[in-house]
Amino acid sequence: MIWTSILLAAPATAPAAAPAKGLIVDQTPITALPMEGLITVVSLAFLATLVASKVSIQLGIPAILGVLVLGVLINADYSLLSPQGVEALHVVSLAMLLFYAGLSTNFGKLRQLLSFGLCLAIGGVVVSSGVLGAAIWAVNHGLGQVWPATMQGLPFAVCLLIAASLGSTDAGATLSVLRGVGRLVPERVKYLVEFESSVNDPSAILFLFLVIGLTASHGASDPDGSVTFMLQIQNFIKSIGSGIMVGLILTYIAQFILRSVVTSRDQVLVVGLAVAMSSYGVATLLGGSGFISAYVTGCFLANNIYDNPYITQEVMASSLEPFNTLMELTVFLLFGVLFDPAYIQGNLVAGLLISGILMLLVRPLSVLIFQPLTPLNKRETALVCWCGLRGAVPLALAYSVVHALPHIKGLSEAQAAGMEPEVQGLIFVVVVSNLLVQGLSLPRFCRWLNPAASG
Amino acid sequence: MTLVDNLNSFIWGLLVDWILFLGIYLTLGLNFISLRLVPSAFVMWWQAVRHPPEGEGECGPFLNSMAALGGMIGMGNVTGVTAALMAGGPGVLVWIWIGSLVGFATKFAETFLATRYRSHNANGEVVGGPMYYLSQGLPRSLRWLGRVFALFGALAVLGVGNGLQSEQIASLLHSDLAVPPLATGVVMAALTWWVIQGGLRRIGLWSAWLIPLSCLLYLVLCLVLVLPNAERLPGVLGTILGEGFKLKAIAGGTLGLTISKGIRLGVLSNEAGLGTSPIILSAGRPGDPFYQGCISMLLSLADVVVCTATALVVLCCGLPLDGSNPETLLDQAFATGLGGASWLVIVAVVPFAFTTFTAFGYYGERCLEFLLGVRSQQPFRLIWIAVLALASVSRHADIWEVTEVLNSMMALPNIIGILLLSGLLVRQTREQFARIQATHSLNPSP
Repeated sequence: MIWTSILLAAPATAPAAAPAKGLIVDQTPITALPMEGLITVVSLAFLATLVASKVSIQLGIPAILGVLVLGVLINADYSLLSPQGVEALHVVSLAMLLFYAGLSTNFGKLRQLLSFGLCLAIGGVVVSSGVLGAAIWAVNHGLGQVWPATMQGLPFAVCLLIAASLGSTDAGATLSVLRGVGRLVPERVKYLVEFESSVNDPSAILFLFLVIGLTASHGASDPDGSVTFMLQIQNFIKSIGSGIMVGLILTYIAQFILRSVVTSRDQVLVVGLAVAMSSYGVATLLGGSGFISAYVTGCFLANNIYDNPYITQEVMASSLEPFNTLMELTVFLLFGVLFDPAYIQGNLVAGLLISGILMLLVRPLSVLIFQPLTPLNKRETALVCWCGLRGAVPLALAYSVVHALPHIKGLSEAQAAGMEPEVQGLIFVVVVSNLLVQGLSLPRFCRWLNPAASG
Repeated sequence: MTLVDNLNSFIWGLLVDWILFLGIYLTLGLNFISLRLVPSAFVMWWQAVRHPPEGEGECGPFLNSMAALGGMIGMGNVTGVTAALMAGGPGVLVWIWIGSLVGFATKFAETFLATRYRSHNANGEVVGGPMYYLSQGLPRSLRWLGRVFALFGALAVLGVGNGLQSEQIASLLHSDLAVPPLATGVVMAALTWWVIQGGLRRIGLWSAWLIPLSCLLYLVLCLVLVLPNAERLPGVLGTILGEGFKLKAIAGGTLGLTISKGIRLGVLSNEAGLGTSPIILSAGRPGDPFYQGCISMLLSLADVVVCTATALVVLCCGLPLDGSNPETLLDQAFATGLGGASWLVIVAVVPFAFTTFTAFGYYGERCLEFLLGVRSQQPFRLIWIAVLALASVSRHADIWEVTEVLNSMMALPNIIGILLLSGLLVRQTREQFARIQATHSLNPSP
């Protein structure tokens, strides 16, 4: 499997560049390490993620934040992993995250919440990206002194890109924090948050790609950009429609395999992995969005019953759950490892400001704007407003933003190159501070609000 | 008309893929029933024709199926295929076949749903079609899709089922037999008026006479042309398959053109995904969704046979495919083989166009009636024959391009509807298929 190879290859490269920080003291390049050494280092890193999760849960912050910080502490040289490697990693991890998000979407529990949830997820991404983009632009132009030198006077397109990458919320992070106060949270709020988080992943990705497409500079043959514009819109609509349909087609193929080919429960994990990746790959090859396709495949796979006596929905979920945990740990560890902490400092103030705007203004706004449709009461709505934890998807999309920068109209190559690490640093600061603040305060906020008591 | 051109390529760029994906999805979802059932479907049809079932419906199984076939087989099967071959090369034929094969499932789905949700109009007639399953089967928030379909349908048929065909048939008669175009238009309009005034029953009666005879004549003529060139046939088939699956062309993007031309023609010809022929099929007897779905697949099969016959004639005659227009190429192809008897082709083709006028008139009438009520019937019929007569004197008018855009817009709500209703469709079809396998009885329920 592609994924496994990356899983093995990527962390393996990580510790090599940690000369300053500890795991390997002498400056041995990674290629010089014997196989046994690599295996030891990788496995130790994985064991350490478990310790980090435990510590973070004790501290009351989302487990993924601890793993992320661990990754940063290990710290590798970014250049050790080829750009293609990073690209492959982020694509694979996103596709798997979305497949699992689809699998955990339960339509049955969502009857009255479906339309509100869809508005919140799709409309919320658009509203929050737009408002946050404007806010970033305003902060950038109004408070130039808190930004690093290469980030002065950002074009609006770049602000919008950064905002769009921050559009999706993370169900896992929210629910892991809420676990401690589980009784206080009404079931429907849990389902809604879970559903919103899973649907806004593909919508944020699509929205980001749409923004990237629309802000990219046009070729010489098309000076006013109208042809490019039409093509972009067509591609956008096509990627949604084709993504959904290819996802459905792959669902049937997966069902056929589950029903007729699979002979024992042990094989379910293999099917899950292969189906998720092929759903992504086939859809992308056929001009659809692989992420939507992976999501749809997961969604319909989980919401159908199979004739195979070995396979039930529980088996499917329980086989894939450990894998998802592994996936999540790996992704966050790697995002941490690949991130260069040198870029935190310059973006710290700006990142914290944007994170504050995101939590206090943008998120509540993007929830309250759909208030006319809500079946929730005021306390529940208030809780949903504070449940906007950002997670893996923004970190992965940071790489997409970085890739897109050189193509943006009005940015010179040198400018774009200077911005790349800073944009990553900024997104990192926003995500971490958001996880930290909301993660720590959410249980207390929930106890204070006591939404279950209001019925 | 660059805007219309852009719009056309915009929508077709989306639709070609989507209709193909929809077909594959339904074929898989129905567990290949759509392909496995074709022989049984023929038995079902034959039994229903010999012992017409009781029950509600505008006309019996034979008239009903012939009326729908009359709508499906039109100038698209003759000049349309030639035009696609000229634009996309011989490989187009492969994709016409593939489009039609996966289109079987789409046809089945449309017709099944249309019959399942059929209803009555204010005159007490049985009516059905995508607008009914869109407005009754979908969740409340999406029911407006039915009206969208009906609106685009009522406007689009004026072009694709009327204006375009009228123009082509008039120019064909003019160039071959020197009949004045206006005369063709007026005679056709008068006949069409008389036939559509009789409702689906009279449309069916005329199609039942015209379609089997003209199809037979056309196929025989094609055979007469192809047989003397039989030694070329393996070579031609080799070219078709080779060009259709040429891997090198995928990289160059030229295969994309071949595929899109082929699928597009397949769609326009057997109407899979456009939702037109279910309007006739669902109004007939018996009102068994499964039976009508099976019949629609048989009709698609007949349609693809006619398309293939045309393509083989064009390819076997050995004329270069880069001529100026498809009518001339076809003329030359038939003239080389038949000599002085090439007027027989006209005799075979004119009924194709005529039955299309009557069937599409019925589609448009039902769509408009869905929007405005039964009082719109007579005005629509008058507009219908007026367009028919006027279009006969037009020359490649741009307005038909607009209706082609509208025609593709019909497919969008229909695709959404079929996707959303596919759960119900798959469940009920599988149940009925299991029942058929258990009892070995192919009799439709009334």
